[in-house]
Amino acid sequence: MTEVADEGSMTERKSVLRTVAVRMVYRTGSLDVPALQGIDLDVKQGEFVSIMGPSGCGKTTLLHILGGLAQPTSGHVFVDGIDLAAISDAERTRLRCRKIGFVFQRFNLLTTLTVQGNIEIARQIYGGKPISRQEVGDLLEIVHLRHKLDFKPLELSVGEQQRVAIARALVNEPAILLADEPTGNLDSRNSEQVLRLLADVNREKGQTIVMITHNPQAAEMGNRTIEMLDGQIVSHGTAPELVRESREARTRAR
Amino acid sequence: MANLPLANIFNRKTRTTVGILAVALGVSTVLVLVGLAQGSLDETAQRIQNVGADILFQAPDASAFLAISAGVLPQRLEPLLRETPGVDEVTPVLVNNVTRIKDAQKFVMIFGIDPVSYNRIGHGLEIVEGRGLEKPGDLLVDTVLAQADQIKVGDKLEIMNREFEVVGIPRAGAGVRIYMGLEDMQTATAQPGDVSFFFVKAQDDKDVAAVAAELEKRFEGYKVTALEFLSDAMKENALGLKEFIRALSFFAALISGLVILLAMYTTIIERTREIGILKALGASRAYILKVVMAESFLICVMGVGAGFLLSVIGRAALLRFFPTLTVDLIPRWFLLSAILGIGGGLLGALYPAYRAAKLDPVEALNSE
Repeated sequence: MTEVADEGSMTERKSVLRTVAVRMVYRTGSLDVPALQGIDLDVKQGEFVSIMGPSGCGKTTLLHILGGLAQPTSGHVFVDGIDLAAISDAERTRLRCRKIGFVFQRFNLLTTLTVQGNIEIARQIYGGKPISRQEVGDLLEIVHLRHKLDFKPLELSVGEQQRVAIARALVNEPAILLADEPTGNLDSRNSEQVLRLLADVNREKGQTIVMITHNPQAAEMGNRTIEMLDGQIVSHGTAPELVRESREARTRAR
Repeated sequence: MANLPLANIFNRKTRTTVGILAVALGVSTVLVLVGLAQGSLDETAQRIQNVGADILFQAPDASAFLAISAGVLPQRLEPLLRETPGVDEVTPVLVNNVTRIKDAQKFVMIFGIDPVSYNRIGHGLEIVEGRGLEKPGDLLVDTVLAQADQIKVGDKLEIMNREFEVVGIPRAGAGVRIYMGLEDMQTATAQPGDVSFFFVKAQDDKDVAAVAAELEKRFEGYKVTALEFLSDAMKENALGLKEFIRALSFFAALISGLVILLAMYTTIIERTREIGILKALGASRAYILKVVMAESFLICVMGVGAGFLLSVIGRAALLRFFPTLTVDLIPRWFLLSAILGIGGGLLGALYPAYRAAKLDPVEALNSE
């Protein structure tokens, strides 16, 4: 977490998240619906990877598989070198707790707890020393919400709720932060704040981030962008390249 | 630290209230009904003990429930009993029960007594108003029944098709609620020369066991009970009492269990997404199980507390409207009913908790 991202030396970095030929097929009645068709992905420590693609292309499924929330039909996922297919469900849960932080489009805060309670419970699940109010306050300082410690989620604006969700995801200093359309429910001002926050966390703390987004401008915040279509990765590149390609494709179509 | 079970309890007030009330109802039902059953027995036994005798002498295989005794012993046994070494006093009693007092349905036990020996055997009847039994047709009604039914000295009461005059009001707490002369009772019940049992007083308190043993020896097969054990003997003889209490306890635990099951199951359905969030945060199945069980436990504990309170209020209300009843809230049953309420509730919570723990995290997160 102390290592700062450096695009120049990214290839030499340790791989924290890797997939090999990941396939996912959903069975609907007697019909097999392929959601992912052989995904190979390698995310290095300190990288900020954006995954783009149209709705239904398998982005969220991939994110769930990367975070150990779902199991692929075939293929392997390695988190910090550990093959998720080779460990039990309980061990996967423990690994998720230790290594992965989630940020969701719908924030997913526990509405019966305060902001402080939402952060405390993530530490409680992690185990170990309980987090003090001072430490919660310091963490909330990063997302500029120290003054909202005792508020309930529904008393906050949507942008604030997402910032609390980011603070909660960071409380146990995970190796990887997985963000599923974190700006999907936000207006442009709040989106910008949240994206800047993620970029800051990546740059200043070296936090590895994998973010799903529909928004090309949001994808530009990352240092690598992956484009998906029909359950496959169709291109890798830096965000500006893909944004430019996308723009050109639209122009040609006209 | 964050306390999700506590937070959920205070944020889901209707669900929490229903759960608490269900457990409270189960607990208070057990406490009050067991208290009523055992209290009535204890109170009856206590009143018999308060007569002041040491030993109850009955016919072979008689029940400890004096209310179901009839004239099954010859009164002429009295002098034989008096001759037994260590016996100080003997008094015969013929029991009958009526189910109507002053045109109202009421189950009341009546003693037909010989007032002279009855008063010598112990503390005697403490007459607070009027006088004692002196002549045929006299009747005594104790303070509780007199107050409950507005009966006063001088009133005429028709009992067993005969008219009696209330001549005195003895203080309640010893014997039964109504007394008449032994001969009046024998005539009214067509059992001349017969009695239901004898109260026996030992010359020395220390010799009660020895006198009882001597009576058993002399009157082989007859039932001899030291009155200090009457309450236990009555509970032993109370056909179906234990089964009644067992069934009551089972249903109380069942009610608690079913309502908690329903409440927690509904909660789990409502909170599927919350469980998905906890799973995404890395919560193990054991953690989810613990959260649901802890929430149920808290509801049950509050339910037990409310049940205790409800029992005290229920007892007061029963005594207010039915002053002749006795409801003993027995300390041991506070503990047992708490175990039933909490145990039943936790059993009911097991399935919803298990279901929550087994939820698929992605499906849970996608639920609305």
